[in-house]
Amino acid sequence: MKVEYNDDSLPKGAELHVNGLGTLVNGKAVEFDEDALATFEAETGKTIADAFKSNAKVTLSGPGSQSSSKKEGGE
Amino acid sequence: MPAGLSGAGWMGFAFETTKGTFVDADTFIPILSESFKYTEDRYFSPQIRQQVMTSDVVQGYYHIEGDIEIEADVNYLPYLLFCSRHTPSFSSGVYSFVPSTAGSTSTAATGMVQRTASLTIVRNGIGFGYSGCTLGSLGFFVDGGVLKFRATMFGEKDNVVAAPPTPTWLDPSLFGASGHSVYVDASSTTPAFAAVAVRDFNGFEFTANHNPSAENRLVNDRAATYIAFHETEINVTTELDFVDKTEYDNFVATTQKAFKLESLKGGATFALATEAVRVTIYRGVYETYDLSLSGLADLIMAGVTIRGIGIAGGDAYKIEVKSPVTIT
Repeated sequence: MKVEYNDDSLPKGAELHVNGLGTLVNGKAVEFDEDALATFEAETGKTIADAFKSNAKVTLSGPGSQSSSKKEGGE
Repeated sequence: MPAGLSGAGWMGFAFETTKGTFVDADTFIPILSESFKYTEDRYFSPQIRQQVMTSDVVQGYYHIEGDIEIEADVNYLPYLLFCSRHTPSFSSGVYSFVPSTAGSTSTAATGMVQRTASLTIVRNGIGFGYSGCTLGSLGFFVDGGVLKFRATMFGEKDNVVAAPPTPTWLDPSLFGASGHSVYVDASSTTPAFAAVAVRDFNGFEFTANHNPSAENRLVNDRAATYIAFHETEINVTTELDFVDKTEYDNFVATTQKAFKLESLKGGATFALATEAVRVTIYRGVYETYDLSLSGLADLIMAGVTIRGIGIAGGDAYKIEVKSPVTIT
């Protein structure tokens, strides 16, 4: 899954750390493998999609990028 | 859920688009401590009915109130200062905040104006949401060689945060012991300040207290309607080495001076620094200058409080933050 972080208030390239996941880079998409996603879910009890669903600065793409609440909604 | 530790908690911040309407956090500010609390004037009925204790209770008006303390970090200071009783401006990478006469919290959402914030605080995994937040008083101080920032915040409403967002953290960027200098000059709207810093300040604690109050009106809501500001009181507290009577005489004579604290990173001057905080009091006067022989082995130092007062044709004080963040 790719996690893209875009925050106009921070310089491009600024690094942001997410506990249990790793480092995001402002203005870039960072790819995380299945192991990283599984580790995050085990540590936080949330999928990446659920963890960032209310954060407009984060865009997810690739497998697993849809939050569980959206899946339950029958999309 | 088992008991939790404070270190596992966090605080998030968001500017509000409508004053008092809660917004999910999108900026995550590392704090040293917080003490936000729901503060209510609960009504206990004193009916006289053959008992000598109150006989009923109903919910009363409430507001949010509490302190936060952080290590001063230019990635976050502008956000907090935008939510204080100041007029902000931005030029060449520097945010400036000068005192305003606003009587209450702003309703503005964008631009170089005073704003309100929503704060999310997670304690032991449980989210608390506070909206309509503003800084009622604020202060910079050097503690253990590190510049820190303390704010007493007032908020309007307590909100439910069912699913707190996931924090994203920048690396810390602190002002350490080698970064601080204090300068003193004659009072002026444009003090020259010598290039060489003074060497007798043992600490520097600047406080701007806007004396806030939560105001409740009859609007079918128990939450505060707005936060009011009253007199702005400016103080610097420190200790000065007592080496001659000059400053004592200045205290007695109410001599007015300008004072400046600079904390710098990445350069030897404010202009060259990549990150910086500067607090300038343009017209300060000693309010106290306490001397004593306090003990056999004690240095003789003056306990000093400097009070900032208004200056004709200028700002009484200014807070400047050189920061990489962009706030529009």
